Amino acid sequence: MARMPYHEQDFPYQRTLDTLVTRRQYLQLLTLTSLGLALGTLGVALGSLRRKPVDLPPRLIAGADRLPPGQSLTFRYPSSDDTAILIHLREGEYVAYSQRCTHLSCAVFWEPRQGVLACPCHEGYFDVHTGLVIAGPPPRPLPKIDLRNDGGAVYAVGIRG
Amino acid sequence: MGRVALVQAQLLVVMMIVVLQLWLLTVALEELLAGQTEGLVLVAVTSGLGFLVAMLVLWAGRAGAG
Repeated sequence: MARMPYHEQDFPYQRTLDTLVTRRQYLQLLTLTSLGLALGTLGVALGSLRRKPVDLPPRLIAGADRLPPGQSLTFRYPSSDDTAILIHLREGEYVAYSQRCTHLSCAVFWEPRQGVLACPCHEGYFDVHTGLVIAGPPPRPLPKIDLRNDGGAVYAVGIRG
Repeated sequence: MGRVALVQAQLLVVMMIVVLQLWLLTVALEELLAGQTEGLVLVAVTSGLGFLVAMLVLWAGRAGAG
């Protein structure tokens, strides 16, 4: 009688007790996975159709009229759970964006020396005039908040993106 | 031997379809998050067509095996 290999002596494997998956069964499982992915994609498409644009009331950004050029402040818009950042550019213009980085939702901050919005988590950088990604892993521009200047008071009136 | 090759070919085709559908799902989610919803229905239809092709491959294999 042939001697058992050492590895089978140390780790006995009872092949007859194992439940094997045949290639045909695996093919059926893959087809089921394909159905699941198709349904998931359909769900995403249907979810987008249900979204309706919401009219947001104008919100006064407190302290914006006293913000010196080159400085920034944070505020909440459109809801109290959404942080946003307002920058008073040196040219005198105000711009505002959602503060949530489009990569992994870290809070971006205004970097005045470089003149960009920076994300400290993975070194993502956004253009302060457009919100477009300059560098780093963020996949999309920062959502831009529409502003209205009313006699020195700055109001947030909508958000895009 | 021919039957094994047929099943392996089916597996390869369906695997490629599943990988394509995974990519389509990520594209759909990315577009939804970016607020660009115009092409989502087309992406969903393409993914559905992929599933139909997978079903066809599965059925054709069964028919071929007799």
